[in-house]
Parts: sequence; C-alpha cells; structure tokens
Amino acid sequence: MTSSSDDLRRDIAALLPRLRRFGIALAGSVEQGDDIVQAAIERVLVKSDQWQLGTSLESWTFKIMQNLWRDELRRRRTDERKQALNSAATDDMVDGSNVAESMLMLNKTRACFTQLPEDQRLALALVVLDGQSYRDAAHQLDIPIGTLMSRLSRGRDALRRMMEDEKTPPMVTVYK
Amino acid sequence: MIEIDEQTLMAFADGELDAAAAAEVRHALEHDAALQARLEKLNEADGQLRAAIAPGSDIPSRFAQLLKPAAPAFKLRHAWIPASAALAAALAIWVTSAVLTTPTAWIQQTDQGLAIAGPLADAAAKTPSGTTFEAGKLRIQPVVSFTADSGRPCRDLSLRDGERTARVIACREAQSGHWIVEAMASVPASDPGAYRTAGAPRNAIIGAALTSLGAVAPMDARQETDAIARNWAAK
Repeated sequence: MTSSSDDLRRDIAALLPRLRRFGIALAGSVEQGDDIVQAAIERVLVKSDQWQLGTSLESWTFKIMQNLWRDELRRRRTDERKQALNSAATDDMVDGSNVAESMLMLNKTRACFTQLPEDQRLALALVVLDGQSYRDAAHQLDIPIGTLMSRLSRGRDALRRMMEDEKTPPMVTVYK
Repeated sequence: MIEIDEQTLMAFADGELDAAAAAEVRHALEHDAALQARLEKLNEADGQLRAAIAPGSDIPSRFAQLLKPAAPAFKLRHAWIPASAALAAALAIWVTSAVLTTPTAWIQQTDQGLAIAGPLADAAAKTPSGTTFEAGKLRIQPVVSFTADSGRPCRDLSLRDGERTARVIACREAQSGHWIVEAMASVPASDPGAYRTAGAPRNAIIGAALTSLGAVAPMDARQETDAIARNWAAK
C-alpha cells in the first residue's frame, strides 16, 4: 500500500459528508445513498490509476455515483422504483428520541424532494446542497448552464408547490 | 420599480450574478418589500432542503473500514498532536468565557500530552452517549464511544453553548486514567438537521480523526454502560 493510496483515502474521507449528501439526493434515502457512496468509493480506490491528475476527485466520484445510480435504475422496474422512492419518506435518518415539529417538516421536505424528477433533483443537489457554481454543476451534468438554471427553477418551484400542498401524503416518521 | 424575474432572483440567491446585475437586485430589494419576501422565502426553502437532505452525524462503520489508512496508526496520531495543542488553547479560552462561574481547568498538560479535565473529563468518564452533561451554560454531550486501534477507549464529545459548538475526541490512557485529546474542532451550529440528529454536526477534522484512530465499530449501549461501570478499565 503506497502513501498516495493513503492520501487518496484521506481525500475521500474529507469528501465523505458531501458524497453522502449527494447519495441521499440521488437515491432518496440514507441507506440506499450510502450503498451508492460505498460502491463509488470502492470503484475509485480500485481504479485510482485511471484518475487523471488535474481533474477534480469530487467531480470524478460524483460522476461515478451518477453512473452507478443509473445502472441501478435500469435494473429496476418502474413500479419498484416508485416503491423505493416512496419508502424513502419513512426511512429513519435521525437518531435520538426528541420528536420535534421541525423534524417532521424536514422529513416532509425530504419526501417531496425525492418525488422530483431526477434531472431537477440533481441540479438542486449540486447547486443548493453541495454549493457548486452553475458552471461546475452544468459541467458535472454535461448540460448547458441555461438548462441547469431551468431545472433549478422548475425544481424549486415544484418543491415549493408540493410543500404548500396540504394534500401531500402524510409522512410517517420512524424514530429509534 | 425594477421588475426582477424569478430566474434573476434565483441566480442572485445562488451568487451567480455579475457585480452590476447583483447591485441592481440589491437596489431593488431596498425598495421592494415583496421582492425581499420572495428572496427570504427562497433562502428559507433552500435552508430547509439542506437540513432535510443531511446524512447523520456519525460515520457508518462501513466507510471507516473502507477508508482506514494503511499507514501505521501511531504516525497519524502524533501528527494530530501539534494541531490539537493550538486548538486546545483556543477551546480552553472558549469554554472559560462560556463558563465564567466555573474556574476549573478544562484542559491540562500531562506526560502523555494534553488531556481533558474538570467537568469535561467527568462527562467523558460518566455520561452515556446521547445524554447531556450540563456545566454552567455549557452542554456536553458524548456522541459516541469506540475502541481505537491501540485498544484505548475513546469518546467523541460535542460541546455547545447557545451559539457555538465544538467537538473533541479524547482517548483514555489506561495507566494514568487521563483522557488524551486526539482532535478538536469548532463546528457550525447552524445546520438544524445535523444539529438535532445527534447534537454533533459533521466536520472533516473529526471525521478524519475517527478514521485514523480506527473507529470502525462504535460501542453499543450495553458495551458503553459496562465500560462506564468499570471506569473504562480493560476487561
């Protein structure tokens, strides 16, 4: 094992919070998101010799995660996919015993977010959640900046409408 | 009044407008309460989304295992000490100012290095993870306990006053009983999702320290209760 391998592991460890957040945004739940992150990290570690110096590790890893998730979706039938997204709303992403109203709101937000079309979800994930510039996010998604802005705008608007809609299905929250 | 459309307002909120366009929006905001309300709503929704799509504060063991450095642990551990010293000094000032009525020392110098002391050491020794030890205005909450590669029991502690949060990882030396500081970091307390889940926002320094110490599997509640009962002595 070389020191550069350790350096790579440390770089990935530093990125882990962002990778996990992106994983949740992709898959809709902590558990499935972590599965993607784990698979992506394993791939990065195995294929580190293919990583081109000068390119961003995070961008490369995000791309691998996107590809893994697309592969996963291809394997699923449409109804299974819907089931996965719906069940995400009931995943317990919190520890602790305090049931707070604000936590219910967070769960509702997450449930609504998972119902957005994937292109809008990814645009919001990169810009709002990960704080990337429009240029970097558009590059990551291989789309023009104008398309990215359109997806961001539609995603935010859809999320707002869903949050305001009292008919949104009630969220069931499981607290450990 | 200048009309600001949604995409322009969104680009402003995302910091994507050039200086001239941003100045135009700022000028419009000064004179348009409705526009201010739209911007606040947008920022609030973004904040809500960031809080909602947040992983838990603890590193799942599968990642700790996957990213565990292959280099000997002692090299990493000693690499932390100089950084810890500076941070310890900063934290000592911070906690002293937070608890003016408590003159007790919180950090002490020992032969093994810097160690937590006073109420902080008491919390590490006696308080189960997830529960809060209060000392004046300061709230100390152990986040998790684990056994390091070296065999030492370690604790990840979250310290909070009204506005600030810090994280300390300390591991107990068997012979002296001192909890030696392995890592310290100030962390933002502004992320309500992470903040509420375990009182311990994520931090790269703390995450890297957990990894380098070999924090693969946290103790479960029973193991921790047993460890507290025997004052963290080895079985």
